[in-house]
Amino acid sequence: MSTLPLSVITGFLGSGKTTLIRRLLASPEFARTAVIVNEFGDIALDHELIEASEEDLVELSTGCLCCAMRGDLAAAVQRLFAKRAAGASFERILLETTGLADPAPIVQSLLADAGLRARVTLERVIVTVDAATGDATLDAHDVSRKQAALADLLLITKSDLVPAGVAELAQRLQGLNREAGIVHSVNGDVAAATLFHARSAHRIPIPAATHPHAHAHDDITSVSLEREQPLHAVSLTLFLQALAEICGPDLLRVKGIVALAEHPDGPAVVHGVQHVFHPLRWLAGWPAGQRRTRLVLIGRRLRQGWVEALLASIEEEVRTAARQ
Amino acid sequence: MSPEHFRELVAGTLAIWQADARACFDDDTMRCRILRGEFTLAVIGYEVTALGGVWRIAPAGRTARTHLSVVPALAGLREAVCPQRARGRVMFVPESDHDGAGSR
Repeated sequence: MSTLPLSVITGFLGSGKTTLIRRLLASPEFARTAVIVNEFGDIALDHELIEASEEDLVELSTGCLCCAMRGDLAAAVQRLFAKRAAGASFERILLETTGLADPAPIVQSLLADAGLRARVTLERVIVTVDAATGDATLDAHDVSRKQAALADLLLITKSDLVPAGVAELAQRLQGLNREAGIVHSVNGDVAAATLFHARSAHRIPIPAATHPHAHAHDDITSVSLEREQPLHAVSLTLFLQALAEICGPDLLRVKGIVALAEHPDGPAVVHGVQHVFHPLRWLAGWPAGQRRTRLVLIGRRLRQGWVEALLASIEEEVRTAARQ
Repeated sequence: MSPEHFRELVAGTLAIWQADARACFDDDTMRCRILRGEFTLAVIGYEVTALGGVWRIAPAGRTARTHLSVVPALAGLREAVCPQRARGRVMFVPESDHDGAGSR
C-alpha cells in the first residue's frame, strides 16, 4: 500500500492556521485533501470553520495531540483511511495542531509509529507566525520557539498589518531555524505552490544583521555543519548517538544530507526529531552536483564550536580504532 | 584532539546542561577542574596514549575512571556535575517493509 503525504500545520494560538487551511482547501491543488483538526478545550470551533466535506475531516477534541494523544493520531489516520476505502477520494492529509502543541512528539510519532508510517509520509511541517504578535509570542512562550525550531517552512501571516516589522521578525525566526524557508502571506493569501513546492521562491529577503540579533529568551540555536570529506557510517551513528545522549530533550531537530565514505553514489538523508531518528534514506544523486555533507542541528544552547569539536573527536576515535 | 576542542567540549557541554558549575582550564594541558563555587566537583583530562586518546574523569571523593571515547567521558562528567539530569537515549526507528523504496 502506498503512503499519502501528511503535512503538519502548527503555530501559536491565533496565528492563522485555520485560515491557512481554509485557503488551501479552496485552491484546486488541494481539492483532494483530508484534514485532521486537533482542538483543545471544551468548545471546539476550528472544525466548524474549515469547509471540508464530512468524509474528509476528522476532529480530535479529546485533548492536545502533543500531550498524550499520540494513539489518537493513529486512530484518526485509520478513520480517514476507512473513509477512503469507503469512497472518499483524497490524496493528501493536513494535520492542524492546537496552538499550544509541541510539534516534536507529533513528528516523532509520524516518524516512528509503524502503523502511521504504513499509511502516511511526513511531507513537511509548516508553522504560522503572526506578524503582529509573533515577536511577543516568541518572547513569552517557549512552545512557540519550539514550533519555529521544528518548521520546514515558516509562514508569517497578517504581514499586511505590520509590513515594517516583517523583515525583523523573519530575521529572528531565521536565528531560531536557519534551514527553514520563510514566506509570508498578504491578506491571508499564499499560493499552495509556495508552501509545498518551491523552497527558494517567495522567500522574504532578510537583511544582514549589523549586530547579533539576540533575544534573551532565544536559547534555541541553529547550527550548520558543512564538510567536503565523507564521514564513515559508524562516525555518523556515534555522532547522532552522542547528540541524543548529551543533549537529551534539548536536542530538537537534526536534518540534512551526509556524504558517507561507504556510499559514494549519493548522500544519506538524516532526519531526527529530538532523540528519534528515521532510518537513513539515500538520494540517487548529489543535489546540484555538490558532494558534501550539509547538516542542520537545532537545539537549546547548542554551540557551533561544540558540535564541530564533538564530530571531530568522534572521527578521530573511529580513525584510531581502524588503525589498530 | 586539539586543546581548543577539549575546552569547547567541556565548556559547551556544561552550557547545554545549564550546569551550576564552571570549568577552570589549566593553561598548558588538556585538563580542567569543574568548580561549584570554590568546591571542585571533578577533574577531567585528556591525553594521548599508545591506545589513542584517553579521557580521565575524577569526581570529588571517588575513584578516577578512564574512557576511550568522548561520549562515556561526558556521561561520567554528567554524573559528577549534574546527576539529576537524565541521560538521553537515541532511538533509531527500524526499517520496515513499507520503507523499501528509496532506502536500503
